[in-house]
This record gives sequence, C-alpha cells and structure tokens, in this order.
Amino acid sequence: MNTASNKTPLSVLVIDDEPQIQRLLTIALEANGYRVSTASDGRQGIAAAAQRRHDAIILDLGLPDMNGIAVLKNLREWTQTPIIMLTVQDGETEKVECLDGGADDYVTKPFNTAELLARVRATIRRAHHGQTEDPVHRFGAVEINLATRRVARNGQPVKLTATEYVLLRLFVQHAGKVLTHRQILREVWGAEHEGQTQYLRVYMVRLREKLEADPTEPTLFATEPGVGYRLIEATPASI
Amino acid sequence: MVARLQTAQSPGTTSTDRSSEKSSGFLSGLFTSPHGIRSSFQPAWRQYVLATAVFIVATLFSFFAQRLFGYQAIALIYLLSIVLLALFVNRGPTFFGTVLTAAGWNFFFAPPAFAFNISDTYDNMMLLTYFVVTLIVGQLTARLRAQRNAQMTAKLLAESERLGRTLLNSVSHELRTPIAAIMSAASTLHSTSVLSNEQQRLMHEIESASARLNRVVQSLLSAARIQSGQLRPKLDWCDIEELVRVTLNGIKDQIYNRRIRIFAPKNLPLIRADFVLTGQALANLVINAATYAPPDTPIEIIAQVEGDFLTLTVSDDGPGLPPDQLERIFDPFHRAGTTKTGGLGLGLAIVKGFIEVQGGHVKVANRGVGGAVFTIHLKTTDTPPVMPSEVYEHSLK
Repeated sequence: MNTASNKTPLSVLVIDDEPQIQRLLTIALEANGYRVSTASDGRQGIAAAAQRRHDAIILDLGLPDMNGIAVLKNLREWTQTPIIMLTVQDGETEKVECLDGGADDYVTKPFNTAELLARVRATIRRAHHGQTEDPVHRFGAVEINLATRRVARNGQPVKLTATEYVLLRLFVQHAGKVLTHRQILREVWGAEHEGQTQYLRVYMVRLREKLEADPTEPTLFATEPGVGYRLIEATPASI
Repeated sequence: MVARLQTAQSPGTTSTDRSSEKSSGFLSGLFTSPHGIRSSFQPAWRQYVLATAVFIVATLFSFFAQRLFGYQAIALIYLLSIVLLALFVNRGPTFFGTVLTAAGWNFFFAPPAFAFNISDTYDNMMLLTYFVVTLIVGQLTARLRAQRNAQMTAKLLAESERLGRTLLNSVSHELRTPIAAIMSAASTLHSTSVLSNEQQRLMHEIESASARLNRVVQSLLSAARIQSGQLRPKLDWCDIEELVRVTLNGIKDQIYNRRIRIFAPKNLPLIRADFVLTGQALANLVINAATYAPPDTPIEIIAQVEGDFLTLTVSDDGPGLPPDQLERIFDPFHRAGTTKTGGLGLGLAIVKGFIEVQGGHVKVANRGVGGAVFTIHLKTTDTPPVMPSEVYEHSLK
C-alpha cells in the first residue's frame, strides 16, 4: 500500500521450499506493492540473491538441500540485505542461532500475514534509514539524546548508571530489532560475560523501573521468551 | 547394562529418561523411545544351562577323541569349547564353564580316571595351566563381546534417537505447513479486501478455527517431545515476575478479559529454569483455570520462596476436583469427569513434563473454600548468581 507510490517497487526474495507458502507470500507481498522473486532451495536462493539486489529476503529455516542457517551465513558473508527468517514454534535455539548469525528478524510459523508484512517494512526501513544523524530518539514518553547522553521521561531527566546507559544506547541503536541475550551481554559487558544472563535480567528490571510508565506492563522493552529483548518502536505511518 | 551404558554415554539425559519412563507410553507407537531397545543377552540361568550343555557335549566328544589323541589333547578340546562358549555368554557362565571343564578333565581323563586325585606332577601342572589359560582366554573373549555389544547398543540408541527426532520434525512440518497456509491466506484476504459483515464473521471463524487447530497440533507435538525424551531444557537465569507477565501477555486471546491477580514479592531470587518451558507450563495452568472456573471469578497467581523451592501457585474459584481425580489429573489424555469443554486432556500432562524435565515438580490440591490449586515447584540455587558490582550502587549522579 505504502510502497505503491514509490517509483520502483521494493523487491523481496522469498526462499521457501513449500510451493503453497511461496504462492501465498507472493500474493500478500504483491498486494502490498512489493515485487517478489522466489527460490525453492538454498542453492537457488543464494544464486537469486547474487543475481540481483533485493530490498529484503524472507528465508525459511527448513530447506531441502541445506540448512537455512547455512544459507543465512553464506548470504551474510557478502550481503547486508535485510533477512527475515521463517522459524517454527519451539525453535528458540534456532531463532537465537539465526539472530546471532546475522538475521534481522524472525517470524514464527504459522504467521499472520499482517505481522510478517510489518516486520518486512520495519527491517527495510531500518536498513534504509539506519544511519540517521539525528542523535535524539523518542520512544513513547522517553527521549534519549545520544550526543548529550541525556535521558528524559515526560520531560523529566532520568538518572541512569553508566551500564544502564550503555544498555539503553544499544537498544536505541537497534530499535525494533530483537537482540539476543548473547549479543547484549557481549556488547555491554564484554565477550567474557556472554553467559551471564543474570546481569541482563537484573538490568532489564532496573531499566524498566526507570523508563516504563508501568514496569509491570512494559510498552518499551519487550521480552522475547528464550531469545532476547526488543525495544518497541513507535510504528510510523509509512516507510 | 543398557541403563549403565546410557549414563556413561550422555550424563545429560538422566532427567528426560526419568520422565519418559514414568509416563505410560502414550504415543509411543508413533515415536520410538530409546528405552524400546533391550539387551540381546539371554537371562542368566539360561547362560549357565548353556555352559553346562557345552561341557557335556565336549566331554562326550572327548571320550571318543581320547582313543585317537590321548588324554592330554582333551584339554585343547575343552579350551576350544570354552572360547566358543565365551562368544555367547557373559563372564560368569564362562568362568563356570572353565571350572566345569577343568574338573571334568581332571575327573574323567587325567589318570587315574574317574577320580579327582592326580598322580603325575606333569598332569597337575597341566591342569593348573589349563585352568589359568582357559580363564584368561574365556574372560578376554567375553569382554570383547561385551564391548562390541555396548557399541552396538550405543549405536542403536543414537540411531533411534535420531530417527525419533527426524520423525518428530517431519510430522511437525507436515502438520504445520497447511495450517500456516490457511492462516496466511485468511489474514491476507482479511487485510486486502473489503469484506461484508457476513464474510468478516466467516473469516473470523476460519482464523479462530485454524488458531485452535494450531494449538492442538502444538499440544500433541509437545507431548510427543516429552514422551520421546527429545526434550532438552535450556536452563538460564530467569526473573519469575517477568516470566509471569510475559506468559499472561502471550495468552491474552485465550483467557479474554479474565481478572488475574498476581502476588509476587519484590525480592524474589532469580532462578535457573527454562524460560520457555516454564512459561508454557504456567500458561497451561492459567488456561486450565480459566476453562473450569466461572468467567466472573478471578484467577490468582502467587510466586514465593518456600524452603529450597520457588513456587508458582495458580488457584481458581471453580468447582475444584473430585478427590479421586487428584492423582490422575496429570495423566496424558485424562479428562476430569466434569469436563464440559473440548480439549485433548494433554495440557496438564505437558505442565508436568515441562516442569519435571527441569528438575522441578507440580502438585495439585483443592482449596478449603472450593476451587483448585496447582503449584509449580522449581529449585532455587544454593549459589546465587554473580553480579557486576554496579548493581549494588546507586545512580552515578
């Protein structure tokens, strides 16, 4: 819908071995103004991705010829095109592996098309406008100025410890994206603390207490069970 | 034999083994459990009978052979018979056969025949040497065979586990793909076309039916994962309050506007648990309570520390359970007699499976005032997690 006004439609590559899912994704994406190409296995998918530039890739984890994660890793060796993985329920380990392997997001099958489209839009937007120069970021009532390191809620300054600020900054820099426990721990506390999930649990409580309107009903920091955390973006009207 | 081997091979599997042994084998026709493999050994008494039989046959044969080779060569016939025997029986029966043949050679063949005393020093030495050589050869053979058997069993176990996993994955894929197609088609139609009121109602039916079908498939697969011993908990530090909140948020659509009261003290310790499995167990308990208690009554969730355990209690104001049902309520496919709503009766079995695989346990009781109380017990750790020093400081500014 939103993309229809663009001169050249955004293109999405769908790599999935199920013809039915391929067809349905094509219909849904085309109805929303995307141009769609499809591939039925990993090798074809990599070839299709290499042949021409796409704005996003939807990649199924279970492919007949090679593991979806292997395809993801291959793609990440040479392209930064946003990749959204299609995973199954109970597949938390795989989801983490995908995100750690460079996937931008995942959607769990069976999915609501609207949700998938929202994720596609968001990842493309992040890829296009990722390097914004504006240091001021707003999430609901919270305003973060990365230049002055000032954080405010409802206009009132919020005092954060050094670590809390580094954690918040990481979320802001990846707003809307799920960050795995390992990714957060490595970035904030260093590679040697990758396994110390307890740091993260404690700091998330503190960050929520300081920034959420109601820490028991978080609207800023979403927990992705078994995977990680996501800073929820305000949903803009268009990409 | 099999049990010892398993713990030696993979110490991590003990907890799953326990849970799958306890459940009475539902779905076991579909998903082979590694416990289906039994040792190919015969029972012990039969092995001793076999050893005795080998001794008798060798002795009878030796009576004829004695005329051709003389009594000393008989020891070689016996030695051969023990080596052959060791290929088929354990060390005990092999040793038994060794003693029998040594005694047999002494009694029947070494002069004086049909007496246990041996006149010749040379024959005495021969007997001793025979005994030692046969013992060593027999034990070595038996040990080799035991090793080979152990390798075979391990290979079979690994193979059966791999097969189980592959089967589970492909069944899950085949069931979920069409559901994904239905849901995707319905939601696309919903969002891309203007539907009449009637069409919208029908679309809503399709969406809720496929969501329900998806939940049923999910339950079946969870139960199968528990049963097949494929469930590997991923223990991590968890904030129980966060877990409760995220779980309730995830089942909003299934419990409608049910009032839920949460009691959790601020200072609850972090616990090592599988966030996803524990969350799913709690979700099932809450959905269960919401199904059986009248819609206008609240559901209570209490998290607290009790001794070495962190407990998570879900209680409702429903009719409670008949006392004779309390024991069996966690059995797969068990349905309380009062059940009016649909469902497979797997929800509570999954709760039990998901909690026990992490080393916790689940209890059920009736409240004095009516209603049922389910309690999840998860072990708290003796050693609290190491924290970075900053946690205890106040804000920098």
